[in-house]
Amino acid sequence: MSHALTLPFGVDALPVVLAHAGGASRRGTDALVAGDDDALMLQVSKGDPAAYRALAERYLAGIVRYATRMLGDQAEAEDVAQETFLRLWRDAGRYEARGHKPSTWLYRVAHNLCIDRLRARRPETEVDEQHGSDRTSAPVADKELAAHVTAALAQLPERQRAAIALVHYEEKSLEEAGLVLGCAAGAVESLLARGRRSLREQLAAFYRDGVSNP
Amino acid sequence: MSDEPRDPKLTDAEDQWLDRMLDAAAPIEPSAALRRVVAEIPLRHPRRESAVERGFGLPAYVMSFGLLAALAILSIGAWVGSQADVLSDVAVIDDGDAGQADDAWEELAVLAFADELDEELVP
Repeated sequence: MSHALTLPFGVDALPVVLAHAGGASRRGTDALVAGDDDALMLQVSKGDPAAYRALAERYLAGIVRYATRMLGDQAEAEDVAQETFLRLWRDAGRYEARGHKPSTWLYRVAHNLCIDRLRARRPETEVDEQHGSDRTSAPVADKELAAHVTAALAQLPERQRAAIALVHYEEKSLEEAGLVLGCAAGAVESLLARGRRSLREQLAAFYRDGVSNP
Repeated sequence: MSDEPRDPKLTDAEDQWLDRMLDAAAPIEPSAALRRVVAEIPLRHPRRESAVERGFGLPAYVMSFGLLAALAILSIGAWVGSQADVLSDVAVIDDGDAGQADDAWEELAVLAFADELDEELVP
């Protein structure tokens, strides 16, 4: 592995940043990067920046994806992600596993921050009206289709949207999604079913006997 | 009442189609700026430990020595406390001799300040 700082946030960057931050040895860093989430979380709770960066590298993209699906705005979602990882660094000492994964805790923090922002936004519309109800049976470009799907997601109630974002996009199990949303796995299943049915209706214009676009 | 279920499920074909539709949503990646900011959080927000956790800025061996000294003082205090009954008995005995001690003090005071020294020195 190269010692050069090739990525702003990659594994290669860790020894350089650690040398600056006075963290663990190189050998310790490699072990941490390869370690499981629980071990990393324990190290973060002790103030180890290498462990923090390993966890951040694993979950930053997922948290940004999830927050963007929830908020419909990537800039705002990045604020949420930043706050989530700041809390990881500051509050890891207060983390109690109770059989839950650290990643579940991170998604739950991000979810709560998203809900706070959505509540603060109301009664403003959450949906980009340009795509909200605009349906067409004509073939559409990928970009336009993506915009329609994003708009359809944005029109879902927030818990249905969260269930779809967690289970479909983040590939969480029903149980994990339930822990993030604070409900039982059965409730997540119900949210998913209702959300998917609603999406099916909103995107009906693109459906032709199950073989249409995309 | 309708026989139709309240939450009809999507068919397999609809499910597969919807999965493809959801996958058509634009990919989302964190920006380089966010990656950098998140990576720098430990540098920008150093952990604040309490003075005790930091050992008041003293080396560990100094803190250990201080701890041992404190334990020694506490041990001595505990021993002295356990001897309290003996000390109180001693105090009672001292109180009983208080009158004699006062008389002796008067005599000593006379000698010390030589009140009658002039008379004794008169030829």
